[in-house]
Amino acid sequence: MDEAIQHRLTDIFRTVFDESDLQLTRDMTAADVPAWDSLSHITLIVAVEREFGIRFTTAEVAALMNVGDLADLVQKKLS
Amino acid sequence: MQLSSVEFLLFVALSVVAFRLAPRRWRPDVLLVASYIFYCTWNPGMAVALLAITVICYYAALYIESSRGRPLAPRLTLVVVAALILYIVAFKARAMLYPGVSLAIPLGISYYTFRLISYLLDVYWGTVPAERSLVPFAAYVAFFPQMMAGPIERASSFLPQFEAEGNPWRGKTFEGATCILLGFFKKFVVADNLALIVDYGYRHLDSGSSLPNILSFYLYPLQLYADFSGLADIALGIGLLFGLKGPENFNAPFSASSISEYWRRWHMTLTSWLRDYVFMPLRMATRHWGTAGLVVSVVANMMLIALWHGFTLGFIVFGLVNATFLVVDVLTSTRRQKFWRRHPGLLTAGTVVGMLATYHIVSLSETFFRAPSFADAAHLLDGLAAGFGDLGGAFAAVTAPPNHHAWVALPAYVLTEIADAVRRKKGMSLPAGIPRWVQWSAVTCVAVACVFMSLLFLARQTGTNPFVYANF
Repeated sequence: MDEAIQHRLTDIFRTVFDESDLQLTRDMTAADVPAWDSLSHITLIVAVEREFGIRFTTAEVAALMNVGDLADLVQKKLS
Repeated sequence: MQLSSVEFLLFVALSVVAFRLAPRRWRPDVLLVASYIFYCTWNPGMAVALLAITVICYYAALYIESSRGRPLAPRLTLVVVAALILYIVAFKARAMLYPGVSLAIPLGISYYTFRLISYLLDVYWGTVPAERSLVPFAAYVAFFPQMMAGPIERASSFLPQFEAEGNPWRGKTFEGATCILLGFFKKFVVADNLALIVDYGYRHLDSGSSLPNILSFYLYPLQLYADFSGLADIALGIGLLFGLKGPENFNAPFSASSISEYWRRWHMTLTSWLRDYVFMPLRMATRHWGTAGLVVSVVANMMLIALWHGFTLGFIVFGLVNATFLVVDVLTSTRRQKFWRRHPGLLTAGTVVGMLATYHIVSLSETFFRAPSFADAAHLLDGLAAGFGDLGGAFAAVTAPPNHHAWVALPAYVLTEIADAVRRKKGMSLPAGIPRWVQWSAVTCVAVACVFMSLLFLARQTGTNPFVYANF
């Protein structure tokens, strides 16, 4: 995971899920974060879009399996 | 072919033996033939429709996959998914427009169309590859144990099981038989006995006492749960006899302390289906609308769950009651979580109050689900406050024959909850390392119970209640 992206994503995750000591790993999924459900998932997606100034499609979001996928997608959109 | 009949049990046994004896590459073919025989005993014409739809979706998925990135892919996906929705809506609307007329609704239509829609969307989104061989795909769509009441299994979990190495029959047969026994126990001992009391209440809405109304109000959710989860267990059990593990459809729904948690624990394969294919796309489309987007998505999702059952006023009110409380739930969720974090000492009390409140919301909404008409539902709710008057007399009336033995349902229900808790924690298979004589005793008990169950089916050929969810 690109370090700068990881740093910014960590901040977003901590704010959205209200967990100040959350550490991101590539294979982390919704099952690992108690507050990560279908409602907060969209809050997270919107926050990531705002932070990086990008737009995701429904198909892209549906294909995300873990935090690593999200980081890769952000990187792809930025490049 | 009725589920609780000796013919059905024989059919299952023969199919399983044929499946197990066949070489692995022929197993999907055996399953496909068995599933279509089952479907034809119900309605051969509708079996042809099922086959035609399956073939169309099979080729559509291959085209969608090969044309990914070109405008054809989204167009074709949209057309086929819209056609499937229209197909299911047409049959359900027809049933509503001609309520008195017995019109054939294709068996399992809600289940197999949802399976196909999810498959097409998954292929379009690239989350699963399109299936290359038609036979395993058709066997997945028509898989007979899941045709009656789901679960709505995804292709991505079903199809790889055909390819998997080995398929040990011993452990899975024991597990499957136990699941089937538990399912029939839930249906005949819990659900059908509770139905006697609930039906009594609906026949005595104006008895002058609140007792029958209260019993119907509080017991119907248990009846529906035992009925539906019993059917799910039977489907799961039969699948296991073939060595195919299906998804669980329930996870202790009455332990939920909020209505949104309840819907994550009830009919899970339908609610997770809607979350992935309706709620998430809708939320993505409305994500910049703020709270309005959230409310629209929650209400639309809940109303779809309601209408999935059929287009009647009762189901619509059932959906509206749930949607109202779901909206309150999601809008206050963050504030409640913060409150519990500040007051951890109150959490246990809060959970218990939440469970009670959730049960009441479920009972209220399912009154409209169960009542023959809106007026009857209103009548039942009205009667809850009628007062008890002659409580002894009312109690004697509700426990008089044929209801006198119905109360066995309550301790039996507790037993099923214990069995389910054990199953969730340890599974239904025999733990490894236990003495051989314990293993054989357990296997003998299950085998004797299966024989006993078959004899019971022979004895009570007539007058069995249909499963509630077999109608959807």
